[in-house]
Amino acid sequence: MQQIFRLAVRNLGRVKRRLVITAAVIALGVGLFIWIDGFVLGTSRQSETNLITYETGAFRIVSKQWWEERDFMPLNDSFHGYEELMTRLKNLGWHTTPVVEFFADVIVTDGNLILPIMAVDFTSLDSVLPLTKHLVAGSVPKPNHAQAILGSWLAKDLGLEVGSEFVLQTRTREGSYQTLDLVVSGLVTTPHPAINRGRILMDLNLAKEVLQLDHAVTSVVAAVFNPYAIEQEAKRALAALDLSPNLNLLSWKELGADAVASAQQDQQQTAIMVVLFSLMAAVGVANTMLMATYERIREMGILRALGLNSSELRLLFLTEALLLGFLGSAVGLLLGVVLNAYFVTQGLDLSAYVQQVDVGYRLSGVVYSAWNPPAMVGSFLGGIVLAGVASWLPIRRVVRMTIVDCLRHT
Amino acid sequence: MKKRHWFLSLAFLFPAGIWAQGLSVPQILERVESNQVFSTARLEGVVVVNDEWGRRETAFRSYSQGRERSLVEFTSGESQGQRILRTRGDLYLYFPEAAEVVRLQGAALSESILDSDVSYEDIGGDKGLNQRYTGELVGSEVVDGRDCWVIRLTTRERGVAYPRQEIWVDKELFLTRFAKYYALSGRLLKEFRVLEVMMVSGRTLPSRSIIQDKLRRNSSTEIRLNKVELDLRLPATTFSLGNLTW
Amino acid sequence: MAWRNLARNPRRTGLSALSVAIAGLSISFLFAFSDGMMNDFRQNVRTFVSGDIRIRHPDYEAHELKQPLHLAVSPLSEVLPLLEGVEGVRAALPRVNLGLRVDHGEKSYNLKGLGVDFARETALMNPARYLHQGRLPQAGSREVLISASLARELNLGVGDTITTLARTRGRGLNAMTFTISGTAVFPLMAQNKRLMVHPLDLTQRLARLGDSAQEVLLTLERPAMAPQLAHTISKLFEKLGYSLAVLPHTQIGIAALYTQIVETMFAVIALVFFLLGSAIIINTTLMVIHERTQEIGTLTALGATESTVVRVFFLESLLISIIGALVGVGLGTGVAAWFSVVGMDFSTMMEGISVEFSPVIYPQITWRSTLGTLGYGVLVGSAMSYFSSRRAARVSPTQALRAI
Repeated sequence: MQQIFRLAVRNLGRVKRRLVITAAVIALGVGLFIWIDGFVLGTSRQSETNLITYETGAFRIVSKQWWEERDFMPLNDSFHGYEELMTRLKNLGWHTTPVVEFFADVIVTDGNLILPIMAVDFTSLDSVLPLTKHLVAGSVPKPNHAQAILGSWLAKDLGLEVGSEFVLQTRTREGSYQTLDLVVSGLVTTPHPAINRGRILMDLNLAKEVLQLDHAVTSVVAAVFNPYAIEQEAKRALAALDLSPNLNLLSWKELGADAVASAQQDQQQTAIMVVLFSLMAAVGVANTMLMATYERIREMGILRALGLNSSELRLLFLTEALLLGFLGSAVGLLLGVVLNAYFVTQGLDLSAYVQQVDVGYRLSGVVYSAWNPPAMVGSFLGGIVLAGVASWLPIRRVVRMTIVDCLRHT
Repeated sequence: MKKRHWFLSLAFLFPAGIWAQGLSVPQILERVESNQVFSTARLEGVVVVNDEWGRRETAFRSYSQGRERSLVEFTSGESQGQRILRTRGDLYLYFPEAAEVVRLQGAALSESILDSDVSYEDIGGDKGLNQRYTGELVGSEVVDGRDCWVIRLTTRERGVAYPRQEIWVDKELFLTRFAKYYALSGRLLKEFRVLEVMMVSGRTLPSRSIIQDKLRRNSSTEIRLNKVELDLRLPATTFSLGNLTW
Repeated sequence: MAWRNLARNPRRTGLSALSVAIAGLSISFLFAFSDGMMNDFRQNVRTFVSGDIRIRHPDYEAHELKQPLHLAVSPLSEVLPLLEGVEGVRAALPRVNLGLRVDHGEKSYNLKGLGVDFARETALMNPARYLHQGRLPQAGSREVLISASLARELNLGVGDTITTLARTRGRGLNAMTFTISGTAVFPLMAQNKRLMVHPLDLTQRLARLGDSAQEVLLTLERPAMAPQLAHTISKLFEKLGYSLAVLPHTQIGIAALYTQIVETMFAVIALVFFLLGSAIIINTTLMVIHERTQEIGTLTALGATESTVVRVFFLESLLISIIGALVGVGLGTGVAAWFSVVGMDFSTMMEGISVEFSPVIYPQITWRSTLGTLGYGVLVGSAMSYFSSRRAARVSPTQALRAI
């Protein structure tokens, strides 16, 4: 066996050209598959990713009443004890941030509009909803200051810029009319259009004071802990916490149910392209391996003439094929990982390739790939197996031919 | 005249804000309210709304009983046939083309009626001023030619819509001629001013008054009373839901 | 002679042709499918957002956030016949979007209201297509259509009544009670959320819109004529004194931009297909040429010139590429053609509950999915062979003959 193995390795090294050609096809097949799979997955999941990253977090804790009335977000559905909840979640590994959301009449110079306002603790916000990382103008509100960050599209629609003033009119938790004068301190443009179109952020402590909140909040938002098991996070948290009966823990799917349904449609459709590609890669690798093996029928004849029996021959060529497959798949895996890594972190800015239609907003056309470990492992193994299987058929034929026929083959 | 002056000068000897003309602020407020609250009343009038979209007139007819019950019907304009019923602390809306009555609660109460400067909540008021506010006399001022007390009201309860008010009360007629309504932050939200008065059954009522939402641009609502009947007999079912939909 | 050579070693011929066929098949189907997806997307945008041309009040866009009902297209009774009289316009569809509220049980719900002219909409939205239960509202009745998910949420069905509150154009409130004539499921998930579709005249009564609509969408005989027709209509309006904004769908901001972004994405994916396809073809060709180095050597030893060798081999590989490409593209197109009739049904499951709507994609057979891909296959195959056979021909006969 050891001899066969050594022979196989030497054989591979003997004809570099053939080695390179076949290994290259396998490598490209595996590498490009990993890339296209990651790209398609990432882009079709884009809206979900945006939802989780910039809007819902992995899950939220809200009061049951608040969820029932979420269309109206009444302040008296806020709950107490959020600090304790946050500490417990932190001990279990989650980063959290407290949030108060409410509707207010936003009054600007040429009119007014009822909009949802989100009061946040800017120090803990970033590690949960990295909104302020996308500041395109101005800065984050200072603690307790009457300042606000707006989505850039919203600001444009309202005619506001950094430094502009506007007034919020709303009611306190008790029900008294309240107004708050705010100054725009910064604008954000995130990859999530909903944020750009409708988000207004202000300081939580100021909101608590102004809205007579008496230390209650409307949600505690948790960041994703394990990006490969986001689905299970809410369940895990719920099991680990002992929530009081008036509270509910909702996963991002429930929080963003509408967006999820849309996204699923996208995912299923674009998956076809990945399947098609893998078919092409599989047949392509098989084709290449077949040719490579058939090429060597004379060689096989010589080996047989020299005394190698059928099973030894089979073993030798199979070993070569598997080694080749391993080499190709390994290079392919490396290639795929490098490519995918670039697109996961940097993404592809599609908007650079489109003709700018003037919508008045700066659209984020950057799409990011995603990691898909099962696909990576699968294609790696697939490359090896396919190489082996594809070389099997010619070998079987050869073994059944006479040695003379083999030698005569061109 | 002289006697009045003497009484007024006495006022300076007492803690400011409590006594005026021999009356305590709570007493003044009581008298103001007794002018405004009727055992029963029937009113006919017109609401004129002026804002950036133009001018709209709507005629109305209303019945009221005490502080807690009222039924308003719009009798002209776009909203003709719509009715608002206040009873037992609830607010109901009737629309001619809806088979069900709409009950307004919570945040919906701050919506404005006919997109005027008056909200559904503003026409409410189960509790009297004295119950909800502590009054402080801060001075005297002449408003529209009438001598008025200036009284500052600060809420003594939680959850009062306008936590602070300032009212100018006509010293003779015990009528609020001018009022300012503030949010918790101290910002002026609405202003109310009496333009004309009328006498009915010994009481002075504002025949023309104007309300302005100070946060919104160029908006004002004028309420004109054309016909007022007080202390009339109203059927017991006037303020029932059944009557609302009839 | 090329034919004879090819026939001589069918296995080799077959495998080389197969490599071209694989690339051809995959890429032609890819193009057909992604064009099908783009088509589906564009259709939805056309049906629900832009039409071929969209007409609105000139100030509407600037105040869109506030849902200004008074910034409307009116008088409809004049504008609609005018538009329908323009040559090239198939139908003019008035639409209104409203915010509504429903109080049901102890809860209040915010809804989206869509007012359409059901009779005219057979030309664009064709609501009957999306009917799930019941039937479309009858003209002159107080009937409405609601989305199936709303019906589920409110636990209402066909025949039940529903009372909705709306803000009127005069900025007051109004409410109306409707009867649900049917439920519908629309293709864009986002739309299915709490939607009520009413006959336009009811919408106008509810929100006191008078003879106006928020926008009018036009369908054209030839949608490609949208920019020119939009211009024509603009001029017409100017002449007649109507102050209205006319936009062809190509200029309707966000939709056009997103369309381009999606197209670019598909182009990137196609590029990857091309890369692998070409690699397969190239490598196969290289192997073939190498296999036949001995042959080449024999030929040159027998006196054939370099150019003769190249010509023979090139011709052979051209034939192979053509056959392979034809087979591949033929198959790919065949499968795509079948699906373009039958449709590819993607049943959407949401948390195990099957949602009523299944988006169906119809692959599109286009020039680039057929001839374009054919050309690519032939080009890569033969180009590769040309260069490598030239190189092989230059090797000295003795060297060539020695290679095994």
